[in-house]
Amino acid sequence: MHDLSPGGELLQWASEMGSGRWGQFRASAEHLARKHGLIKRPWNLARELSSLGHLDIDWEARRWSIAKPTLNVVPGLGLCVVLTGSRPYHFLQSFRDAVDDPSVFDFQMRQSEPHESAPAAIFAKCANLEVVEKVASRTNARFVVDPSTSLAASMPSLGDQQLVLAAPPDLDLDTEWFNPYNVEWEECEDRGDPKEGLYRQALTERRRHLWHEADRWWKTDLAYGQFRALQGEGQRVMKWQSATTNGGQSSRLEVRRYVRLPDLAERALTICDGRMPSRGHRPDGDGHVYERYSNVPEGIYHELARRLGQLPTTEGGGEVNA
Amino acid sequence: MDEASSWNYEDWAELIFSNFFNEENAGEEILFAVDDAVLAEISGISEEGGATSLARAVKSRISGQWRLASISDTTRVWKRQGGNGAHPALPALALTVLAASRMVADGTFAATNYYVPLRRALDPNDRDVGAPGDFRTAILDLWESVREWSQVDLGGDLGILKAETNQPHFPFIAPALQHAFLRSSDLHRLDAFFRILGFEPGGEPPSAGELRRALGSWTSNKNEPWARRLNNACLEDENNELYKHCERLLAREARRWDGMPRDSRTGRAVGRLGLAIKSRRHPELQFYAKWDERLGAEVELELPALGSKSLQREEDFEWFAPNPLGEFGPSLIDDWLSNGVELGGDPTRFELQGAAAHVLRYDDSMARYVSVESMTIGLPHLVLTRCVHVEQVESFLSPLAEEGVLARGPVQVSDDPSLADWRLVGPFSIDSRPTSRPPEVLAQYLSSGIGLSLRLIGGLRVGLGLRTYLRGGEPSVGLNELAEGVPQLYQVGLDGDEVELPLESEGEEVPLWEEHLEPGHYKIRQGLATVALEIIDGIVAEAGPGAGSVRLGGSIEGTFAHGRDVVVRPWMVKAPIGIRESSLLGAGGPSEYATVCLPKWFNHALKLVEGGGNLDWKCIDAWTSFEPVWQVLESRSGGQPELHLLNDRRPNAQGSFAADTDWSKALSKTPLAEDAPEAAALLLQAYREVIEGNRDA
Repeated sequence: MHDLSPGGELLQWASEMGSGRWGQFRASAEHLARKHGLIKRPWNLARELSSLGHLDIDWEARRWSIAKPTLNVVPGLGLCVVLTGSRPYHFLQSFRDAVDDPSVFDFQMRQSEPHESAPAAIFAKCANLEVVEKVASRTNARFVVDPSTSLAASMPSLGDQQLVLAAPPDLDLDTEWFNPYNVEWEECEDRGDPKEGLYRQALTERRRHLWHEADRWWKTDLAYGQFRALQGEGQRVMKWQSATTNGGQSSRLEVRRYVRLPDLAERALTICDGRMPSRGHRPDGDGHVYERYSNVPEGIYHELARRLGQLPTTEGGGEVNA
Repeated sequence: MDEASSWNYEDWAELIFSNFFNEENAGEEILFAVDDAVLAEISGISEEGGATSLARAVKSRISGQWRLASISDTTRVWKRQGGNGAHPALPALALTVLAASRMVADGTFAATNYYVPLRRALDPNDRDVGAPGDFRTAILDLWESVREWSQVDLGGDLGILKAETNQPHFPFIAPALQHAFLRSSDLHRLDAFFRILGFEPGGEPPSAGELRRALGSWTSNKNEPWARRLNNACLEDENNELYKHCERLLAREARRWDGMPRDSRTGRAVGRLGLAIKSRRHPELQFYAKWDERLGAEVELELPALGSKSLQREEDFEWFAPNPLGEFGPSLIDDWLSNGVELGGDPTRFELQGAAAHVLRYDDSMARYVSVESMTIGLPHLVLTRCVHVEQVESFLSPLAEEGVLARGPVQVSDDPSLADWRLVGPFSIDSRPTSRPPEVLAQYLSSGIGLSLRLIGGLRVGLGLRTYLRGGEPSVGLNELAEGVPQLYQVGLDGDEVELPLESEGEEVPLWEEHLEPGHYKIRQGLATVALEIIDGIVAEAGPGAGSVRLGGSIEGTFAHGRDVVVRPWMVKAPIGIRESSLLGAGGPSEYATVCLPKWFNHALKLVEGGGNLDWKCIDAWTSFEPVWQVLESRSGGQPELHLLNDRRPNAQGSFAADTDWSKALSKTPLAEDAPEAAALLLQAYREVIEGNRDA
């Protein structure tokens, strides 16, 4: 069960450490990127661990902590319980012992492109709920039922986001404006009055994001900044499709590439099948490339879309009546 | 003590005591580096005045005849009276070190050269030569007495002042020489040296011998006076054992190095001045005072032409206001950038280290690029350097920056006229530690594989040990270019036995992870240098300390929402057979109808990703809001649907249910499973009776 992916090794290290400062985490991520010849920034490796529900990061305080080991019973996975949180060596040993039982079948799945660096998903297919509880008890892990519903319900909506006033940025310094019409970043060449909307500057470790409106500037989060800009233009960047009735194809939620979901939304979606989203290689019928989350219940899609100011659409593309 | 020139012997004893002995030096050897500049600094009068005042005070006790025995007598009385305050020998010993510092400044170490400056330190008109008075019979006892007092009587709490009193060569002057061979300010240079070594604050330093040899190499091609002194101090000479003292001093400095400047005499924190640039296009250079946790929230600073200025820490930020400190002329800025500057202050002075290149990084709190001590992999930086170094800096950075994931174009060089002889190179970011050696001007900002010491680089360190690594997270070994031979790897057994293992990797940096080492203790040797490490599988049972301490939105830990009740639990039902979905029917009528199917897509995904594996189910979870009573499944034999009873619950009906719903149709038209008990047939009859069509029929 030893996960030799960069994210798997990073997760094992973070699990042993428990918590710490960002600088320490960054050094470990850098080391693993070097070892694996991976061109990926440390915070992207960290974000994958966070999206998968293993790690929580406070970017303001520059601190992180690993979540305690958790067995997640997820609707639609046929009692294939997803293991999230901490995965130190000795825990994995005891997990292996606990699932050495005829009523449990454990397996893991590597992540697919472009997130192949993320830790593999570990599952335990249990005969029934009592068996899940028994495995949780034997390994001293938490037991969570339907985590995506509570994660989606805990996610702040656009209106809940408090913007913090900021000094006007020097637009000469590596600044880009987010164009909500084509969902792309554009270089700030214009020397005139800056357009309203979302800006980013590649000056610091993680890009700095600012919201500009009514001649004032605020600090914002990338995800909420993007969805605020998209909401202003009525742009839809999420689409949902139901599962086939014979179980051959799962339900799926697709999100336009280059659109960042808030951490909790990302986590609520990845836990639906324990894996990072896959990316389409070709543009979809509408000419855009999407990232796809599998096994997402319609209720989760509606909840997230509502909180992000996206009007939910039906499979045919029409709006859903409230 | 307001008139320094008239200070008496006791005044000087107290002054020296308070300036060299304090808690910051606890347990450490004190470098008693007394020279004209230090006497001026601690007395607050001119260089000449400080030394003259000390000489006058000492002469009042030992006379022009050099009767050191009188100090020994005073010391005995002082000890009998409780030994409070400063040791009476301190001023006399300080004078002997002052004389040694003048001799070192002349570049001569011979004993015969010492007694002339020694005599003249006390009396400039003394034209005699040779050891004065009772110097040879009394001086070593005085050094020993001070050592005993600082180490035993004071318990080393304020530092230990000791000297080698058993030297075979020049035994009487060796103690003074070992404190005078360096200046306190020379030790400031060790900051850059430690960075070049790749040594991390708080990390385990290389051995003292390795430190000394590396320092000797680093200073060998430098011509500045401080470099010559440090280089001399590192020379191994059987007639001059100063190098041993140098090793102890280096080990001390390495132990307490935290990446921030300290006064090498007192060990106290020294503030740092920072360099800032607001805009790359208009790079006006500014200076500011950095705050760190060692400093208070308020300081006084003496600024050239601006006088004393009171600074306050800007709340929550790591700098003092006002920021910038003021406007300074181009020539002053040029001098500060190259040669550094020290600004006097209270409670501490502030300094900027001069350098041929300064590295800057954007600081969000100041909205400026500010100078930093080292480059961080992956972050955008600027380099401010003299014109003469631009080409080598640019040619080193350009290929590295272009490899970066955020590369947008070539590294730019700004020649804004306000920069005079300096140029701004960048912005650039480097995404992995360079394998080629940085040019000398950048060496202190960026470590590379080969260096001046054998050391471990990177790795996934865990636990309390500084050199304990996770299996799979082994570090790489940076080789020592000063050491001869190839590195050798040994596994160390429980009994300490060492077994050499073949080292498969080659190069200036050896990646230990390629050796696939089993957990255990290992050593790597190259020449005289050795580094040890331990590899383990893991330590903790479930999660390390502090797990769960960061929560998103205050309540989310991973996938667990603290304080939120469990929403719903699934019902366990029979797994559908074949490819069709199965219907679930509740007791509450047509609204209690749902379907369930096997997640065959998941089976497919498993095959796709892992190339194999097959999942099958006997039971499956159903996430209905009602409790299922009946389940429609295909029969095993003919593939026909049949009804299975899951729970013995009667229909929950106030009246009748419409017949044309999926729920009603399933109950009315689906036959009961052949193996169903008699009770199931009776219950099914009850359900069919509440369905409108059946009742009418």
